[in-house]
Amino acid sequence: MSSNKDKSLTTDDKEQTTVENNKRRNFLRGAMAATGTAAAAVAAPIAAKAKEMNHSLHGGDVMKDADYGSMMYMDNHKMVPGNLIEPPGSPSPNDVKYKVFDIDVRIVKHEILPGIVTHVFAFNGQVPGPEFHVTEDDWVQVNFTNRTEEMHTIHWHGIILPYTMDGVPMVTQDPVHPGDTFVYRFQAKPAGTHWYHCHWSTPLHAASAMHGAFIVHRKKEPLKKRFPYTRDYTLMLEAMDTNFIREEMNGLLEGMKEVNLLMSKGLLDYKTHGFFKDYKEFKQAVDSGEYVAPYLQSRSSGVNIEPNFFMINGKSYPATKRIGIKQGEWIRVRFVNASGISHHMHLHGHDFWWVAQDGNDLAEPRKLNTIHVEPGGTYDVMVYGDNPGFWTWHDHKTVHARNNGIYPGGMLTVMAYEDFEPTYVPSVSTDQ
Amino acid sequence: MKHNNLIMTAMISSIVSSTLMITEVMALEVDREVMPRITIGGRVMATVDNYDWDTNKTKEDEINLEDSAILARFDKRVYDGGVAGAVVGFKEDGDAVKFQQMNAFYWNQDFGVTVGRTRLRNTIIEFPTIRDDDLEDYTHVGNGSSNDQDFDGIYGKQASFDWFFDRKLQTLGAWVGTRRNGTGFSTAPDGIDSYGVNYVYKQPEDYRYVKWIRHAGVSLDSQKVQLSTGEERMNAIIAGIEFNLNMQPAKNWSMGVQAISNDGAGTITSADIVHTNANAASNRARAASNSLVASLRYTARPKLLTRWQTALTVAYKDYSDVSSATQWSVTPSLVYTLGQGVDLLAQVIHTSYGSGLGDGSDNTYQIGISFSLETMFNDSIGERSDILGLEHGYIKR
Repeated sequence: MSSNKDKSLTTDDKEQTTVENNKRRNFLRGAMAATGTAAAAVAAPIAAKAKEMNHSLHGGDVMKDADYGSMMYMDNHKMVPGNLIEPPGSPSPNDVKYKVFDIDVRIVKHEILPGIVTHVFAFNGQVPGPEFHVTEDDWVQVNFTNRTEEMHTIHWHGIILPYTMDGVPMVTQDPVHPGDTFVYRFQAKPAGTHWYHCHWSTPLHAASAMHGAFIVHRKKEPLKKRFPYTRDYTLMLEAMDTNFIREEMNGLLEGMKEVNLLMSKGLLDYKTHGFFKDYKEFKQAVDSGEYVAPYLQSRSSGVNIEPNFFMINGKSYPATKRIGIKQGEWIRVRFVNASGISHHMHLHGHDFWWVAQDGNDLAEPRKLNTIHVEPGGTYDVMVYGDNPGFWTWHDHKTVHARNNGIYPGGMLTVMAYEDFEPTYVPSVSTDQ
Repeated sequence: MKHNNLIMTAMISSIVSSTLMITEVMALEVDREVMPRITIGGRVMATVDNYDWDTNKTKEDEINLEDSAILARFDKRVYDGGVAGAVVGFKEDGDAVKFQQMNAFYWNQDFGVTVGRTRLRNTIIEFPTIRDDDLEDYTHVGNGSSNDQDFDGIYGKQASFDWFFDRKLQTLGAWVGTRRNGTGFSTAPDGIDSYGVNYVYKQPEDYRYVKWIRHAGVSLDSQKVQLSTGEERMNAIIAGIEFNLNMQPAKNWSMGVQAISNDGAGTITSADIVHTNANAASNRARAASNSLVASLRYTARPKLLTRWQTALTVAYKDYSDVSSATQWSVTPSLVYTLGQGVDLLAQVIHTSYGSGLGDGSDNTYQIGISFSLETMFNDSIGERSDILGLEHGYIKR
């Protein structure tokens, strides 16, 4: 449970934030030194370019007049890790003051609950990824480093930004290659609850673990006038098919070992990766039999994704964190549905006010006790503490309140009052 | 009547109470059956074979179904995080269908155990011929207690233990087993008739095109045979390596080499191993011999999808205690992939024999089709040697 910027990224009180440690910054400096370019602050304009491969060079047909474009179609496209890619579209760091964040993606072992561990692609090695807290109209720079053998991007879901920063592979940018760093720059707007996720192989990368909340605060929050909340929780709703993740990750990594080897030698035929300059080239390649489309046959036995674990902020009940509240206190709870399936979050013993959807305040808040959280959407509710006790808050699509088919578990937590004397103290039940 | 009713009531009460007791027990049963992972694999390989053999001039052309097999594996995780299961498989062997696999196994991060009928460890490298036994005289240590080398030279009962180390790429193994064919061979030894140890370095299949060495190993194979003078043990050493000649997954050249030196058992003469001897197969297996096999393989994988493969395999064997008892083979082969698991096959096997073996040469021409499958149900386990397990930490559960 993310509360009050727990494990979050925030620049409210400092200009430049490094998450966890300086490894990523050291990596950036190392990469820059390796290219022979003088080291410079990451926030400053960077001209580091690899000699043998440069994603900032123009190589495609679409952007002939621009100084940027896809290099996937360049002859002898050769991958040399350690590149820094700075797309056009946002103001130069000389012109605006960016708040700078470093983020990476790694493969880690994540424990969903005791006894259940799965490999995942994870931002900064955590599930969900670090939570951003910025203020509306802040200029944001995110240095994203890929520390895996797979391709990745970051899509800023709900943020209005230049299209070159939108993070959709082969639509707005080349995927970030292994070992490379891609610099996203944009202005934080509109205010509200948003999120970010990888847009490469989205069913695996985003739904599994590569997602996090991106909260844009208003300088003065109008909702506080009617709902003077003192605590702010973010609940990422997630669903994982651990068997699909294992098989698909293995399959992708196997393929990428060969792809990366070919790329390192400049021998990769771009069509191998399912890249085509346009639809005509794609259709011709399939029709001629040159390219056997992978959708004609299934690549792994786990193609049908059937989630077996349902989580809130990376954990399934009873490993989920509780939501704290006190009598007479307003709290704000932000639901972000990163799971790709719908959830129906029901709170016992209370009504709550639904105040915002997809970052936008509702014209008129609605009183509910079950809120339907659709895939990709964000939903904000306000709860008033007027009924002391321990109150279950769970997905009422109760098949999601199970762990590998065993009830209770999954997407279930407890809202716990912190200032009362309980007559019945909750314990842990895992098999009913 | 009343009495009968009482009896009936008592019986019903008894049944009801018994049922309730069973129901209560069932309700408290937490170790409910967990569905295993089920893997079904197999292959039907059908070739039209044309024979031009000096060693068997009456051998007729035929439809050859050898090496066709169906396998089923059932396994599940056990409480300590390891995996236990069983394999059952049967295959076509001449005119019969036989169980070539029927074993139980256990493996975890560090070691594995297999007990039952399974593939013998009397070879190291799989050469690119279309069937396992195409060059078996050279590629496998023969079974000195069977004349059915096509089956008993490849499969047998065995209990093996393997220790995995060095990020699981290297294995030290040891086994004991029985190879005798109880029904088809009269002079076989009793008891455990074979044992061995081996060391294997093997990259997982995922790395086969991106690492220079795919597979290498050395093995000691010892088997007991029954001679007229009593039981005697023969020992063989096997050494092999398979490696890439280029690091190009799309247009890959690779090579495999394997040598076997067998010290033999008893005294074998030319008369024992000429083609006309009824026990030539087992006698040749018992003879002291040295063999060498080498293959060159090209695999075409445009867009990293295997479309065709061609290979040339050459082999030489010398029965060292018998004068002029040598043989050699050349085997070009071609596999054209129509779809995943569906291959057109073509192969020629030419073998020439020295006078110590009865002279002559055999030519076999094969063309056919193979359909292979492997499908998995309820996969909740994964494999020990997958990339995530090797490179990013093994997950016990």
